[in-house]
Amino acid sequence: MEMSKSTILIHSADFDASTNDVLDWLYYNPQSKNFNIKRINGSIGIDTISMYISSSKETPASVCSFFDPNIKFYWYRRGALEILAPNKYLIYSDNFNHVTKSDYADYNKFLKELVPKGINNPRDNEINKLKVYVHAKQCGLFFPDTYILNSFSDDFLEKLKGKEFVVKSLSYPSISIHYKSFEVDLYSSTQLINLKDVLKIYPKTFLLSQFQEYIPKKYEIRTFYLNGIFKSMAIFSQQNEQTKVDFRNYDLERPNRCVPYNLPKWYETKLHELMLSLEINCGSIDTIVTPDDEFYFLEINPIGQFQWLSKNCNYFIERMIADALLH
Amino acid sequence: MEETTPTQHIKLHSNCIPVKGAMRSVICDLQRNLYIPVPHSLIDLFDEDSLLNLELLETTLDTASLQIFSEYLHLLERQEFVFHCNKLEAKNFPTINTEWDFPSQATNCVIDINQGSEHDYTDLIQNELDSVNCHYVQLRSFDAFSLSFWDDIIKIINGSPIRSVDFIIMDVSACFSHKEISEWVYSNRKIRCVTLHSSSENKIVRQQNLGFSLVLSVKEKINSPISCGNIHPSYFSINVESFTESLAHNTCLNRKIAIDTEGNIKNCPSMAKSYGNIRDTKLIDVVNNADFQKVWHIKKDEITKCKDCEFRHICTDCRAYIENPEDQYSAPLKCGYNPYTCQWEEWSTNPLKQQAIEYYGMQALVKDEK
Ligand code: SF4
Repeated sequence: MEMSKSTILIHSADFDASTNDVLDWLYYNPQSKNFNIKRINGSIGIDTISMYISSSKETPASVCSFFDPNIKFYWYRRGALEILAPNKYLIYSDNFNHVTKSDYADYNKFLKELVPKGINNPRDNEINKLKVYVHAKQCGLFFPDTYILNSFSDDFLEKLKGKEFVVKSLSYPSISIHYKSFEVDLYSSTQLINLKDVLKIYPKTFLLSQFQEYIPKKYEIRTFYLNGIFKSMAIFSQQNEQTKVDFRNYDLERPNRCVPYNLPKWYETKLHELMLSLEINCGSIDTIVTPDDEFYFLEINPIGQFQWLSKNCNYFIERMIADALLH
Repeated sequence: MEETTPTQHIKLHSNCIPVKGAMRSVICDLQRNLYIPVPHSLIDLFDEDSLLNLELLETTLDTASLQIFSEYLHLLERQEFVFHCNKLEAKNFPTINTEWDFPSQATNCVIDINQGSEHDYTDLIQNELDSVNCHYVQLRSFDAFSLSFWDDIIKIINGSPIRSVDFIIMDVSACFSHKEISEWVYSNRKIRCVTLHSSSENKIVRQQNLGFSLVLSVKEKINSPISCGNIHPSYFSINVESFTESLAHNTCLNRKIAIDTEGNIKNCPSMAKSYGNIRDTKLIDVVNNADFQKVWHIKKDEITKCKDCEFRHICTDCRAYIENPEDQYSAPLKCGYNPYTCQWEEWSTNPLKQQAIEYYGMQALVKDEK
């Protein structure tokens, strides 16, 4: 009797509070009774799979142990999705591993094209900042001049004269290190640098990092985007020395003023175009509004945190997602 | 460092909401959870879009008023209740959505327990509460129970979808030491707060950690629901959720469910009307009963006195003990606030309340408190 129901698959992680919140709304909605709701935490390893394409079919398809055809909706939030090499074939030789890894990597990538439709896709994690800016430029968005460097080029030093830049690590800004009996999480926040700081390091090389022109701001806008719907919040981080450069330097005593905000329509239209061109249907978008009321697009986090935004602005984003899963 | 463009307006942030009472207003900062009383005249300076034109003000106010205003402006700026803006950009700042909603048929449940109670905790927690998506529970006991009794209950809760639980239990050294109870709380992470009543002293036994694991002891004896329903600024709840709930619902009873010591299902343990017993009645049926839901919609804006009170959208409510037991729209009995004088007075000695105190049989309680 369960056979006729279609499945909503939620791919998340242990302790992801936002997934729990969305599930609450999902179960609260009487329509959820018509679905099998399945949540998987962590990485999904696929053991048996066949991907195929035929000239008589429009698009490739896959048959795998994991994605059964009953899945109507796949909400990707956390965790990896990959084809497993069966244990018995694992040969512990570096060369062999290298060959299988790269073979598998290609098809793991391709597999993500074949997953059921829904909200986000594991490939959304792979977007690269520069690629996003290339698309943003085509959509006519302003963004700060950006360098990805592992050493300071002359060009960059020239640009830095009389200016300030914001330095950021490339990916997830935290690393774990083991020190004596402790495990320490180092979290690198965004910092401002000027020519003087740079000359201290010059001409050494360093880990690939992002350097971005500092844009003075009146306030920052954090937007939750889902299939063309925008829910935005203004963050008055400028008032607070601690959060001037990076609002993640939270001030617990006196949190930045965060209020609902409507982006101008022309700007939303451009962002929507950008999301469509990147084929990302859900995410958090950061924007800066300058004292001259200019809008600078900063970045997209495809699998963003929205709890904070939802609560502060009373947006019920969790309910929105649950409704999207059911429709 | 950078120049800001000159702006002639200030706008109230949409989460800093003025509420007018009979004599004065308060600005409720729903983000930072605080409120500040201000005169009506200050609030009246803002237009319907919460905007105030500073340049215009200078030409309309006299010098003395301007002086007073500048002091208030200073306060508003210091609290970051307002921001400077021009009229055009102000349009991008909408009012905050005032809808209230919650993904549970019952948001919280109070379960009262005494020696005579025969609750089936397994069925209640695993089936009944789950059927109404209830994730917050308060267990309140009027008699002494051993720690192993509580431990059996928490084990059921640990394995259920319940997110957090509060205990109000009798402090009896023969049953457990404070050290034992602290360790027990620490190893059961869904416990938000344990209040030990009938204790020898008022103290914090265990500090809270991220809103959980708090253990308090209080001298007060809680041997019946009659001690509930106090209205006091320390119980004010200044946040978006409570504020929006208060606009359309009762802030104490909305989507609440209570099970008294005998298993009767009620809106509140202190209220007389029962909607069946958990032995033979499903919680979901009670929660869906229109009669049961009636009290959910008694808003502060409809309650005598409260409707004139500037605290009405941050205040809790009590419908069990009210000034006039005949009138379900009368003010909470245990509120000593007078919105017409802006004074807090002792409620229990108020001559106008003596009749109700007698009606509820609270004379002994009132004497105890004094
Ligand atoms: S008058 Fe009503 S709203 Fe005001 S403090 Fe008393 S109970 Fe609360």
